[in-house]
Amino acid sequence: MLIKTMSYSKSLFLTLAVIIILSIFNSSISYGKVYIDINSPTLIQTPIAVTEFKDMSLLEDRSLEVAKNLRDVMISDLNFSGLFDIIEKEAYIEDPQRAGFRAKEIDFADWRQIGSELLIKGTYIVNPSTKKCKKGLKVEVNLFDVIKEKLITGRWYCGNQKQLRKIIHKFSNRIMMELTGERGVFESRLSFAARTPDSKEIYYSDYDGYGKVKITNGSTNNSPQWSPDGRWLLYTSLRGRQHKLYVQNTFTGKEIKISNETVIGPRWSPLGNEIALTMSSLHGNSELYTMNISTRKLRRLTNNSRIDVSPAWSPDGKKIAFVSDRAGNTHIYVVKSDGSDIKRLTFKGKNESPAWSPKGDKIAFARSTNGNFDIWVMNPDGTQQRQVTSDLHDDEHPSWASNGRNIAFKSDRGGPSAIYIMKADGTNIVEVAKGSNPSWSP
Amino acid sequence: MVFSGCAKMGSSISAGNITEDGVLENSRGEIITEEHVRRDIENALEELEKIYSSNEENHHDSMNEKAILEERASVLKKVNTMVRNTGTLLPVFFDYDKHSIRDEARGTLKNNAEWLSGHSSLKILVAGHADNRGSNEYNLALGDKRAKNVLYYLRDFGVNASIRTVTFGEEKPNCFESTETCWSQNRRAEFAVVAAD
Repeated sequence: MLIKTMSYSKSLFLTLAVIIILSIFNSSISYGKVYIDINSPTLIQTPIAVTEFKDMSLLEDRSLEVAKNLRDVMISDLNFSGLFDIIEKEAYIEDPQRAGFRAKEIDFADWRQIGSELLIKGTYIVNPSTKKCKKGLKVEVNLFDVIKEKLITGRWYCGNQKQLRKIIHKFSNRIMMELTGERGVFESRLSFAARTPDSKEIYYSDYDGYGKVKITNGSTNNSPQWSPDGRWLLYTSLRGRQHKLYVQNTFTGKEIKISNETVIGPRWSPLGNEIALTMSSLHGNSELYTMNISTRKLRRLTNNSRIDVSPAWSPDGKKIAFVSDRAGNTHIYVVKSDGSDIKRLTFKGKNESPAWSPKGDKIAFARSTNGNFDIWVMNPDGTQQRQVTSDLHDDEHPSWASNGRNIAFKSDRGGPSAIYIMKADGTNIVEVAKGSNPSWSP
Repeated sequence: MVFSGCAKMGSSISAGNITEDGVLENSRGEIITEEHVRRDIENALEELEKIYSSNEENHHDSMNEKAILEERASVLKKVNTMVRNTGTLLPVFFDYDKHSIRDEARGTLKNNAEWLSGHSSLKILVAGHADNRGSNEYNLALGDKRAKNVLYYLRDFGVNASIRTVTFGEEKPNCFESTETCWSQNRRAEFAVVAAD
């Protein structure tokens, strides 16, 4: 939360004094200012204003569409974070003809008057043709502290017009870091499977569903999963009656086959060296294994006549949560990655598709108690099981963003199966693509 | 009535009329009896075996290979359509979230086993399916278990034919509604002929 100030120098002295005193007792206070305490349980959204991006292009290059897109993506990113209360532009009273883009050219009283605490202003040039930028689009964006009347951060970007969204996403990441001290996920990607009339294909897209790219070509493809470095996708593909395991480099398109026999639900270890998966061809029954990626050697994790499927690695790679019906209904268990020490975590309903938060503190999963599935979260020891979504349709297959705060999941609440993203507390649910089996990139 | 015609080699599926009384007639106006049906399938299977065995010599000619594969595929399709339409190898169905063979399924599997024992040169595929409730990964595992349980049951009946299993999970449903009627149709194991020795 923003610290309200009296006069500038008095508050500066006080701030320094507090920092020095506190840092003696608590060495984890960062030297930089934290505008928004993202972990606060009483977090109030910070009011922010975003003006129209001003077109500084030559007359023949001017584009209203670029202005609209830049602002739309900015607003969409800010909304996704859940940290801001965006003031509608109809409420802005600043005269855009007279106001500028540097702090001294802005009358911040115009912004305080409408209740704003933060302000974003930007400009762009289509076909800039300058020494610094010879590509199709140059964008400048500034974030201001309205109360302190100063620039918090300002950046310029040079790219192709097709990279417009990416430019804004980069600035959104910067905003997150400056205001909260945490990395943003605005450049992250989603991967998912989606049906066509004849097939089920694997796609990836931006975190908000834009820029969808298909990486498979026919047949039934399933269970896409990102590598820890975010460059490769694992998936199974039905070829010759086996759901074979493949990995594909999303930059080069190079596809490598890893297994000729049917694999179900592969998951890449966060340490990068192993894949957890289910196979039934080895021991005649669906068992969990870990496969060493270099040697392709398998280590068996489960040994019973029931179904063991859908592994989820802990972020330190030492434990794996998974689904088993050994107790009758499907329940979630945790096993050490060497196969030892199996513990049961759920005891009610049917429980499936666990996903371990990259922060390590929570496991999300899908539970059905009387018909439809909802997303739940719990601690890794099974305590504090809490329902997160409560739609009457099926919400399944959660996948965490790397910030441990957002979850993608599949739901048929809108009719056909679609991917939704939300905050981990169940708020801010937005549809981003049609499909299933979402995997959020690191 | 004795059936005197034969299905032509490489011909498309035969068709005929349905009379006012609901009786099936073939294209020559002869009433189709069980015997007709049996002979049609036998002919198609003979054709299949001929194609699989006679074309081994032509294996290295790549232009011909494409034609061979297409011909095989078309005959297989005909055989499987007949298998379906005549109820020769009927599918079996399963209870929700279960992969054990139901009592109602035993009769079907016994019939299938008997037919398979009489046609041991055929290669058979058993495909396991699930309804769309629950995660699709769990359903792939469930479909796999259903297909395997059918396979074990047939082996217990002494079927020696080459049988492979595949799971389709919830990926290839017969119907798409969220009703018990539709779900129960999707929880199944199906048979298909995939080759002949």
